[in-house]
Amino acid sequence: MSTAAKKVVDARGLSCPGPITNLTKAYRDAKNGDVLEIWATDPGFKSDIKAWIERTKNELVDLREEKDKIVAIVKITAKK
Amino acid sequence: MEEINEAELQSESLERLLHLVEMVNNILKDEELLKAISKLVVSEETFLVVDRLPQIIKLIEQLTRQENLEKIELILNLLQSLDKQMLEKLGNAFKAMKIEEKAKPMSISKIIVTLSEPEVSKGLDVVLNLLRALGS
Amino acid sequence: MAEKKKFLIVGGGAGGAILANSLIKDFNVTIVNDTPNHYYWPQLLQIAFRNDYSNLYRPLSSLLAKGVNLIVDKVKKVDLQERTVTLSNNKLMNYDYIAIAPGVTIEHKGIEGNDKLVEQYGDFHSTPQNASKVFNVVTNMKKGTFLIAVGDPYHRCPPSPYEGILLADEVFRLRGVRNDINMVLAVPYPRAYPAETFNEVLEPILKERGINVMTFFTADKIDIENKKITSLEGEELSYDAAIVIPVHKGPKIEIKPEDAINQDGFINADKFTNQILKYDDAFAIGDASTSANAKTGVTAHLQAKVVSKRVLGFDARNTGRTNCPTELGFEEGTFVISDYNHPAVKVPANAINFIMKRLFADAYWDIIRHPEFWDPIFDVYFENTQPEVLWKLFR
Repeated sequence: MSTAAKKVVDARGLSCPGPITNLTKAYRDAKNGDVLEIWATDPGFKSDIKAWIERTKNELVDLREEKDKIVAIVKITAKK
Repeated sequence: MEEINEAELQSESLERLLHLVEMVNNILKDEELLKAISKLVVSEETFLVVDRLPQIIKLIEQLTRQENLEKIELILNLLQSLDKQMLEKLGNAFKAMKIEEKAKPMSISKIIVTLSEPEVSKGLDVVLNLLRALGS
Repeated sequence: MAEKKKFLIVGGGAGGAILANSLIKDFNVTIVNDTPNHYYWPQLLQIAFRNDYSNLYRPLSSLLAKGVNLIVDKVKKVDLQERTVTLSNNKLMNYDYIAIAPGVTIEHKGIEGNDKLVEQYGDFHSTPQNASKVFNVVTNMKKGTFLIAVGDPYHRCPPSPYEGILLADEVFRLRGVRNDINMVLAVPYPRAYPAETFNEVLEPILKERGINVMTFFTADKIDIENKKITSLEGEELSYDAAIVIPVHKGPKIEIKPEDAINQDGFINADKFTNQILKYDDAFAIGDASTSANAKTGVTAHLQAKVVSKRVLGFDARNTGRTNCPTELGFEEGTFVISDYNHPAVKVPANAINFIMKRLFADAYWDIIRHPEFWDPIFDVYFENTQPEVLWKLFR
């Protein structure tokens, strides 16, 4: 089994500067192979995370809406 | 004791007034602000008013002139420097004077006018110092 | 009559000074500040782009109400359990209540090369000296790429990168060199301004002024020799002159217990009450706290008012209200107005907003000194400009 770290980024309740910046912060310390799970309540997050994935070329493992939050699971693959 | 509390209150209100005047001065020195206001304000219709503006500004400028601000500051400092004993002496000196208005707090200007009368200034060190500090 | 309780305030900035002046009637107030002066930090923008130092600082003593004890010293440590504060000479002070409001620490070393970059071109988030370097750049640059890049999305004053690029644009236009300069603004967000609603106001303005916006760009490494900035997201931008908005960290004060501060040194405070963890006698307000959703003077001011009411037994709570004046150049401005429950209102750009920003700046010292005078005025203003109300006006 891989020893890649899984970290939860709790960005619920935030709208400005937004959940993406919480992700960016966690991304700074992440390494290739790490998995980040982001929780958000901001409805704009869904399109923002897709745009982020497209720009950074990391892997979007899952994007789903749960009862009280949006969950995105990102695998870090594109860090230089 | 009433005179002392009144003096403190007067000094506080005067200080507050001084701060407000400083703020107005700050606003009037703000070139960016004045530029923005003049852009909004100057139109054909408003031109007549704008024409009078120099006089209005001069009037406000006189009120906020450095020497006048300094005079107000001087009075403030003096009031603050007077300790309780001095204020008591002053209060007693007033009681000894024959003045129409009694027991009511005097305005600062009234105090200054009354103090300039020759009989009053005799024998009162405090009052002499006051006059000296106020200068001309 | 019972003796007044001791209220100790760490930091004499907007939050600390207003709190001190608001508490003086009911508490024995002591405020500790590391310098004798109180700075109006928005002036850094005016220094950087207008060479205007006029409103920069005043002696803190001139801004405090009579009766507030001022100690000019550094605070080394705060022990929330023991209720003590240690000063630089190891002198120990105790308190009945404490409010910690020392602001942020700017860390240029947080981004590789930023140290050297700021020496060359300056910035407008650290010191007046660095701000004056920016003025030097914008008044001398004749051609090439002028870049402002955000290095830390949690920087002071959310509108400042936009104000910076637009005021630089104004200077270049007034100097007649604008057509030879490529202006770039690089931000970590998915769009120019992170809040989607306010972006609808700002993006067209940036476009109209010919500002090239690079999104998803978080400045990570600066190559001074080759004049390139690389982003966390893996992209690269070249520049001829560049300003990076630096990493912001919490205050350099040791706070016990350790879980009172987060990994960046900011103090963990409740977003509604400013209370630090379980300590009902300890508060953190302003930039240094995690309860500030925006690092601005308005937030510190409003939080100071909430704390001053809470310690007297009122259930006042932060609404998360922002009221950020945004200068756009050429005597125009807008405001970022939002709260915890409403996104930023689409306040249109106009001259009135600019005038309001300047009036506030000119009245700033009086506002700090006399909260008893300004409170009712601000209460009316905030009541009538609630995002809920404004959203009906500016759809």
